[in-house]
Amino acid sequence: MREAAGFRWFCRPAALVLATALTMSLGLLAQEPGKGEQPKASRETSQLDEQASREILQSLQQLRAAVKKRDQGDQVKAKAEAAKTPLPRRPARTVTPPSLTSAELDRLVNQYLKKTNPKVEPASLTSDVEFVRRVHLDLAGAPPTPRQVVSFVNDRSKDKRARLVDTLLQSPQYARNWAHYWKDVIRFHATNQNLLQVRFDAMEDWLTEQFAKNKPWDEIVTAMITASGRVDENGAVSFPLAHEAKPVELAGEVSRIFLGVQIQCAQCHDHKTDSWKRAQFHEFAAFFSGTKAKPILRAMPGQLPVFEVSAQGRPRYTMPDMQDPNKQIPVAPRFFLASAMADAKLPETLDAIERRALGASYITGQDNPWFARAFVNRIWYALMGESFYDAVDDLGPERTPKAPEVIETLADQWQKGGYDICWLVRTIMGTQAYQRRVRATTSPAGTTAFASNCPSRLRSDQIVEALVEALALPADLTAVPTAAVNRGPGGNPAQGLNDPGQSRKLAENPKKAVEAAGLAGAPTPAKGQGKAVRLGGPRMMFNALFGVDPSIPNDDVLGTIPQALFLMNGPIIHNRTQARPGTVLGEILATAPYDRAALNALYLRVLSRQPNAKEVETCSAYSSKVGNRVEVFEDIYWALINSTEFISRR
Amino acid sequence: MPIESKIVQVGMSGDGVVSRRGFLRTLGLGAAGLTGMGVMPVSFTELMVLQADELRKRQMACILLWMAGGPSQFETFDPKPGTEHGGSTKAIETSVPGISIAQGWDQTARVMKEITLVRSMTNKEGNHQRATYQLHTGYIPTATVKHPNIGCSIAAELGESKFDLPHIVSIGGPTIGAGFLGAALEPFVVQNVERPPDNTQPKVAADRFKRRLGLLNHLETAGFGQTGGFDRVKDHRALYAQTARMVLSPRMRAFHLDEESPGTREAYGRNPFGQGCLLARRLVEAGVTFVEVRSNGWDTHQQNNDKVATLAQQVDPAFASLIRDLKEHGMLGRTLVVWMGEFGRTPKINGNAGRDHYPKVFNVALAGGGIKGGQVIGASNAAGTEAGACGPRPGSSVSGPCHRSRRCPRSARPDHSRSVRALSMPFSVGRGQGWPYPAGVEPGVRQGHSPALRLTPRPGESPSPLNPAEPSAFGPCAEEEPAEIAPLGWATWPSWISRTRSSGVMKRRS
Repeated sequence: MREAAGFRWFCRPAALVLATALTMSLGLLAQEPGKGEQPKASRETSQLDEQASREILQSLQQLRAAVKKRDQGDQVKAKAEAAKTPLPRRPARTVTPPSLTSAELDRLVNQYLKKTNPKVEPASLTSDVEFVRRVHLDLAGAPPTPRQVVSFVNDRSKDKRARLVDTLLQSPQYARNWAHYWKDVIRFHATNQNLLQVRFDAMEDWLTEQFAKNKPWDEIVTAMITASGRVDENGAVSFPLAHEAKPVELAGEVSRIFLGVQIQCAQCHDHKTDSWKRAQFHEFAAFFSGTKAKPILRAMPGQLPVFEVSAQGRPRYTMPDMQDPNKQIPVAPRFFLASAMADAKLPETLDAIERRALGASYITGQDNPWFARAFVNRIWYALMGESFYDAVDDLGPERTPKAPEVIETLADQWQKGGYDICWLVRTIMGTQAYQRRVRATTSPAGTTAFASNCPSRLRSDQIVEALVEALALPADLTAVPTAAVNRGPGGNPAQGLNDPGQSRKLAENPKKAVEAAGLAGAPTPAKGQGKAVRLGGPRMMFNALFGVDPSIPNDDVLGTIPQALFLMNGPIIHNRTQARPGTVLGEILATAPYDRAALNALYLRVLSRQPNAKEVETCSAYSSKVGNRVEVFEDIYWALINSTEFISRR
Repeated sequence: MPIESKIVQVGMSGDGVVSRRGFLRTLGLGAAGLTGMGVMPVSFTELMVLQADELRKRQMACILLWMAGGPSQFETFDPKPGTEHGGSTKAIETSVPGISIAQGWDQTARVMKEITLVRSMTNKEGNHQRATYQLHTGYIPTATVKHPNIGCSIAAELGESKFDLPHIVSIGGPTIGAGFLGAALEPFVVQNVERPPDNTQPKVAADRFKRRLGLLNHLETAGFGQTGGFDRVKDHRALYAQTARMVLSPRMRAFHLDEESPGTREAYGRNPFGQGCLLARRLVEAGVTFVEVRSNGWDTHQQNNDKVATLAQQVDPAFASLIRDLKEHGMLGRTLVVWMGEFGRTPKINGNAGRDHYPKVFNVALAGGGIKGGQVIGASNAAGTEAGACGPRPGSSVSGPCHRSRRCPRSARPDHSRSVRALSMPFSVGRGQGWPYPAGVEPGVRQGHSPALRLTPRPGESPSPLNPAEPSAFGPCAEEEPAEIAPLGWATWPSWISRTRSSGVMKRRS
């Protein structure tokens, strides 16, 4: 490949040698004219070699010194230039406690509904049973246990819903749930999805910490954008690392995720349908110039590779000229949204650290409404199943939202209040709009925006939690040792997962555990599935199988055949839906006084509700057809796990 | 216009999401340079869409043998014995006089009559993941769009919607996914060929399984289907119906390799790759449209010759048996077999007796699908450093699918009509000297032209300079007009139109 690379690699030393030769023969050293005389003076043949080599050395040193001086001179000039152009003073964040309440928000929403669809009756409010499951899944990412359901329903206090929301907002599961959401948002579009290099798990841990402390959103985003250091020391570094610290990739993704503006199309040409120009994209990318990712530790057996991200030096960002791809046009950083456009042009010579800090300040500043709107819109979409805009990552000044008065007011209040995420979630969840029942498109409330809540599929980690709860699985999805009688279908001795000794072996060997769980075929993004399995075990493979990009509209999220196969025929589901002593069903059947009670207990465990009359009728009819009580209940258990409702939020 | 609606259809993902990029992409490079011609450049996907009915009728299928890591062309199908870069690898004669391949590929040599070697593949990407993406999708990876595996595109067009089995299967490991075509077309992964795929066998008796499904349906109708989940339940039910159809389908027997005779299994080789090829044949027989079989370990930075020799012991009998088997079953005419890696390896042998990545010139072997076998297309230069001697057309691509053979309306010369009956993937064959970027073109995702490659001489024609057995028989290409397609009677276009990058695979012209 060297030959193909051209002769550039030996250019530099050749140039040095040439320069020295020239210097010696012509005696022309630009900075030191006096020294040129010496080589001519001493020409005694006996001393020629020694003298000549000394001269060569001296000339080289002088040449190096001269070059260094010139560079320094340049830098000094550049600094002076930069000092002349004052950096725009970015205002500090001010916090005004928001005056918007849930009731006020409701009023705005109802106003909108009356204006656009006066004839449509919004859906009724959820019952307590429906509410408790919804809130637990939305906040903590896991369904409530039967005890939690019963205690909530039986609670007679008036403000129990608000108190439940508050309690869940304090729980560690809330932080983990939302950290996983944002990690998925970033991961599915990351340039480098290699789990071993980018350490998305560390990113999730770091985000969990931030959400647990209720850090303001602008601080979290600023920390991610300006992150530097080793990825194993600072989880936020995974964000620039996920995009290989490349300015064009970072620009596109930062804009999409945090501003909701899809400007990446303007990388190669002026945007075809929006007004963004190619220059604007590159001016934005210039903020990320100078950030570099480099490997610190190589991957070795027992050790993951470690990368480091740093912002160094005084970079010059250039974009290729459209007319002549070999020419590069230097570009100064400039923010392309909102009031920043009125600012004076920034110098091209900003250093990398200043650039990132300034970029983060423009993005998260309170003079940029799109930062707040993008976040509020996403949270609203996750909680209501409906968004103000057509897509959660396609907002911007050129898109028209539904109910602009609602989104703009809410986003504005949230922004002025200092980007308090807990306040936002609490306010939305306190509204009647959030607490309405779900409706399908078969009812008029289902087709009208904000007249009802919309059901959507759970995220992969939420489905894991639901399975863990419903089947009493260990959190890492490895086998559960169950004492006593092994029974498999048709009287065959049951396999692997029932033997305590085997389950220990599985816990030690993640690859075998993954295979035993029926997850070996899950698609992993990293090359080297083996390493990925060792990193995360069955739970990671489950997330790979069921994982979906949260930015995709809910209606477009359809299941896949491997997912259906796993739930239908997978070893975990099969084993744990059997009625053996030690399993959930075994216990229910042993303790329930009669069939109806057992059915109620089963529904409560799996779907957090009681069966309605029709469901009871269906089960009775099934029972009389099949006869064998154990088989009937196993089939019902299986059907509930495989139902749509089990993997949906409603 | 029906053609336009088909093209627009391709731009929509399975979820109904129209991506602007997808739409524009299928329209090709549009109006640039086409003034007055009234001709639209077409891409592989478009060609396939246009010919989908024809292909479906013929039950065309494709088997991709993916040599992960980048197989060395010197030790596979483009040996250079006795040269500076050839190493110690000897060349062996094949059943086609004039074509020789590396030692260790004896069985493949015997079926060379069915194989077309393309020796002038060239690209710029030397990174594994990116090159794999490029060769699988035809596009350069970018954060903005997830392109679908070509197999998924093919499956989307040719697969019957009610078919029992998945339309695209990946054996030996996961592969590039369906991208914007949606989760419904994700490749079905088979990790271990010795037993049926995970979770496809019901853990209870078939009767009880069907009974349970019935119960599930009833409970859903009575429950969530009534309380606001109607749309969700409908989608879920459709998915479960499809999955159950697969689980209960007698076609799943295709995964039971023990139904084959031991002799056949031995012939393919008792190793994962060999048995994977056997499974691929059975799946295509059962009606699957696209199967990829993966062979790992070709990234031979160290001990190149030894490692390739070991791998060839597995891949050679499997490849040859697959071709022979397909022929015996009468399936070779409708099944295209592609043997390919993501790039080639360096002519210079490194300090560890290995070869490093070298996308500048590599080779690909094609068989079946109507391609005329026993020929070599393109060549590398004598040193093996460049895609040297004249290929069929600088900048041309082997493209897709089935065009009816059409006479060029403008020229009376018979060798201008092209017929491509192969269902193949777009990649570039050529001199290794590509085209400069036309003014105004930025590096980025681009739709390429894919004029057809003449692969089968029309009956009664003398072999044209483009259809020789030996590279040296290539006549001077420069004077000839570029390979053109004339799908469905459209006019052909002049040479300067093909001066753009082909889909994802680039060459630079001096």
